[in-house]
Amino acid sequence: MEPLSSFFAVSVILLGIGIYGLTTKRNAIRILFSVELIYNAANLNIIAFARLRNPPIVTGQVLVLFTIALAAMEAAVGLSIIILVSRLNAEIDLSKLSKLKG
Amino acid sequence: MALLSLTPFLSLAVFGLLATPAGFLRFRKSKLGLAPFVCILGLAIALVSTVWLGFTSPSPVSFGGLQVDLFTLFFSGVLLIVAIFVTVASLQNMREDPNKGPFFGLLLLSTLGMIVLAASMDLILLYVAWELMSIPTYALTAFRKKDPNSNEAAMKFFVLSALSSALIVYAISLVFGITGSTGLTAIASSLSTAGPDVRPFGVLAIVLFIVGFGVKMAVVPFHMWIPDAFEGAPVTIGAFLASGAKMAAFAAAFRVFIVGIFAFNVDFYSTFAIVAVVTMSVGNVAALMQKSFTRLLAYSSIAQAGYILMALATPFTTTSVPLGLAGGLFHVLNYAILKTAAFIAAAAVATKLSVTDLDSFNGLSRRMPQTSLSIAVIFLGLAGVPPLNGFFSKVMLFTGSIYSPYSWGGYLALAALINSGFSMSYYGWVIKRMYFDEPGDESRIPEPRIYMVVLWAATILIFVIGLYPDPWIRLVQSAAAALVGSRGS
Repeated sequence: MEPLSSFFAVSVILLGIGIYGLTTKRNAIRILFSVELIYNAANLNIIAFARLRNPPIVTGQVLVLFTIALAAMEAAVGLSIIILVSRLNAEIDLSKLSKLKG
Repeated sequence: MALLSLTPFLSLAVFGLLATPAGFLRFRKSKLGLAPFVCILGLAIALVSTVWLGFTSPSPVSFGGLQVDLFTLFFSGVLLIVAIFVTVASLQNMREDPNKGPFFGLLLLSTLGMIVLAASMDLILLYVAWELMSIPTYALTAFRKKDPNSNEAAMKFFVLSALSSALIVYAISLVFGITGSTGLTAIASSLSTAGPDVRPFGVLAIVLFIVGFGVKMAVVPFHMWIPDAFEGAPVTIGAFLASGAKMAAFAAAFRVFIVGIFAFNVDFYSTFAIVAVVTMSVGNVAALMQKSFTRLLAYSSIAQAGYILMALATPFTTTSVPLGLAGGLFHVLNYAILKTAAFIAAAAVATKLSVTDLDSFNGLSRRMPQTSLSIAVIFLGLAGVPPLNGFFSKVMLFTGSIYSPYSWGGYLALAALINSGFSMSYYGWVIKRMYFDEPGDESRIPEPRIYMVVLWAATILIFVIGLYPDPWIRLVQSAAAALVGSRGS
């Protein structure tokens, strides 16, 4: 198998695992994991596309640096929200949080 | 001076960073502190410079991926009006809060992200702006740290919103892989010559873009976070999410699809048409069944997103005036004003009655006459009753859809028309409750003065746009032309 398609195959598998996790798991931390998996699938994609292109282009590496930094920020804010919720409810299971309904 | 075109962005960035430390300073012994005034000053400078730029230098100025043209300035104006309404209304409900600095600072930085989103012509900048818009809104939704509702809303909002960002990055990675570029014009020229072997990747990228933007635009079936987030978030932040973040997501979708992806020979127009019809139908039917006022507003905002999506379902040639697109932009303006005002009216009722279920609206016109009057005007505007502003944008959207080159264009317009008529049922029902039902308690309620200032300003704006639509229609037509003009030649 040529390198580009194997990288892409791994990335699609990661995307699939991420979407599977998002749809089946209800624990907030696990959902955050799944989202991070999708981010990393995209990063792998971008790096592979940028490196294996002929000639290689550096835009991809720049883009990946941005996504890594921003995904980390998003995860930090998300984790702090999860901490807030767990302090008040002692529960981070999304299906058991149901004050807002109607 | 080309650099002057950056004034709105720079003003928001500088004042946004100043607002947080300013929160620790006191201002003339008032309880509010300095932060809100720094915030309003920054927004006012940005709005004035946006209007000034729109009149003096309407030709596009480009700074790499950031393009300041009439489309950018139009969205900048709309989003700044929303931000000013939200900030002024927040003076009321943030009065007792000790953390005013971060609140107003985050509000400004999120607004900056929205405006940069409308200006971005490069996918890297688009993603950075997307996160600059999103991350502060998570924190703002969770701002009531001790309130379990606020936390739960923030968590539900965060999960779906983080998913949308991740999917957008994946879509960007695919587009980058196909074209080897992140600039939208370069992407368009590369996509127009793309071979059939990259077609599946392109289709996957389009689907992921629709899902990613769709979560923020709250189209069905990605709308589930909207009612929870709007109900749990601090009341004025509900308005900010409903009008600001949602309209900015539309700006990003317009840029990506109309400037970049259109060149790829895939029929995404009919996908948007189906999504639009499903979104407006589900939103309207669900709104009819709600028992709480904020949830009714949330579902009605889902339905309105369906109307705006019709703009993306209407293809056009570069030679003709894109009527559907202009109508979509006009509806963005009208929706933003109407929805912000509606949420602030809900806040006024909620702070005084501490409930927002629809039964408490019985006979409200005798208890809170100003609020009731503005709710009635806003609801008639949302339903699209002439001569209020919602009427003209809907007419433009529906007409644009009828003239679309697709044979289903007329059916789309018909579905939207039926939906629009159907929506009158729940809007009218609330008005009937306020004006014709007997209140359980006759006592007059003092109406919060700051909310009333915002509501009167919004009501006047609704009437001005509705009675003198001509200049506004010219504005949205030139904004739509600017968007089409930002396509590469």
